[in-house]
Amino acid sequence: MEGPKIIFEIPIFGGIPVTETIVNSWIVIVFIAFLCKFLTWKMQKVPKGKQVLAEKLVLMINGLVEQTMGKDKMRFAPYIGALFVYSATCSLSSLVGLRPPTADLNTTLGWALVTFAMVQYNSIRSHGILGYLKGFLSPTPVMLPMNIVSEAVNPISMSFRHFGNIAAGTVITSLLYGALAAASTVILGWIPNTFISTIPILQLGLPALLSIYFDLFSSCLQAFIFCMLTMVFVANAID
Amino acid sequence: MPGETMPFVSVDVWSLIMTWGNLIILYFIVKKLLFKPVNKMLQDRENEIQKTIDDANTSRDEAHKLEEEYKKHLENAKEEAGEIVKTAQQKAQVRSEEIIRNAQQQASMIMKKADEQIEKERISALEQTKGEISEIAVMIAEKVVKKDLTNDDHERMIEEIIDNLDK
Repeated sequence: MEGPKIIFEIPIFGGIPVTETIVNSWIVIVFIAFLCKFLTWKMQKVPKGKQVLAEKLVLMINGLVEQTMGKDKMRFAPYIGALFVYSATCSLSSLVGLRPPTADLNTTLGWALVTFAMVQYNSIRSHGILGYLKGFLSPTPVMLPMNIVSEAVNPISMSFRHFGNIAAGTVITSLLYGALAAASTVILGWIPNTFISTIPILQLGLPALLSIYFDLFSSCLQAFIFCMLTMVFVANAID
Repeated sequence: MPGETMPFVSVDVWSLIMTWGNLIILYFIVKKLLFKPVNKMLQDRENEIQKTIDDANTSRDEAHKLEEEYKKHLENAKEEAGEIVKTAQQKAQVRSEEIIRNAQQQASMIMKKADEQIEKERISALEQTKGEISEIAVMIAEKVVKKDLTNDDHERMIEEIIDNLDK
């Protein structure tokens, strides 16, 4: 299994590699930007059609943030919303044949590190630097190494969970495609025409069933889990 | 190099930095293009609904107040009407009594006048009768006595006869 291809290099600092992940992220960002603009185009007091979708999405995320973090932390709603839409769309981009950016550890690790930074920043901001440091000594000073490890491990576990699920989906799907291609050759191998005998006929239809789980369900679920964890960690850090 | 592939699991600093950049860009896109307009719209709608409800409440309160006022007015009007009827009745009573009294007065006056007239007539008739009777009496007396009476006797006799008549 290969990682993302390098599409081109920016010729500064000795060449910055721009991978498939980054390019696909840009495509996703442009798509989301158009989607947002389209859904909120000419909004009216009495909602109609696409506006209902936009309102439903915002209300859902607002409700989720309010429920999980509390009414006083509604300022995080746009970030959580952005993260959710971004993550879900990135994972779902595999449906149109793109390599999902979330199948690259760098993407999920980047997001998890942002969550980590938010947690540390908000913890210091609401408890003061002393209170923040004291938190590592609770309930007893003996727990200090444990607390540090549990804090430091968060971004790793978050990023690997998300990356692993999506990447595994891609891996399993490609394994399945390979297996189905081999099976097709076995079935059609007796036909002397080499063109017909190499048609991977079994690849038609069957992977779609797996795709329902790995692409549709897993994409939305992982986006939800990632946002949920971010909300819980940040809310805990503030309270 | 372009065309090369990255390892399946790797941490690449440039990719991380670009991911952060992308995330920040997307955050602002979602915030400005989705959350801001939708939240504003939701808030506007909420405000409008609140305003409508408030207006409706105010209108209802006003209507209640007006209703109370009208009820009071109506009651007052009823009272006034009753009073007006009452005063009118009283006035009519007074007036009718006055009219009746006047009528009675006039009637009694007429009666009195008539009585007086009757009395006068009676007296004058009496006088006349008196004269006639006295003449008749004189004639009778002359015939009876066949002689002239003195004037004094004459008078006395007449008086006597009249007095007897009166009784």
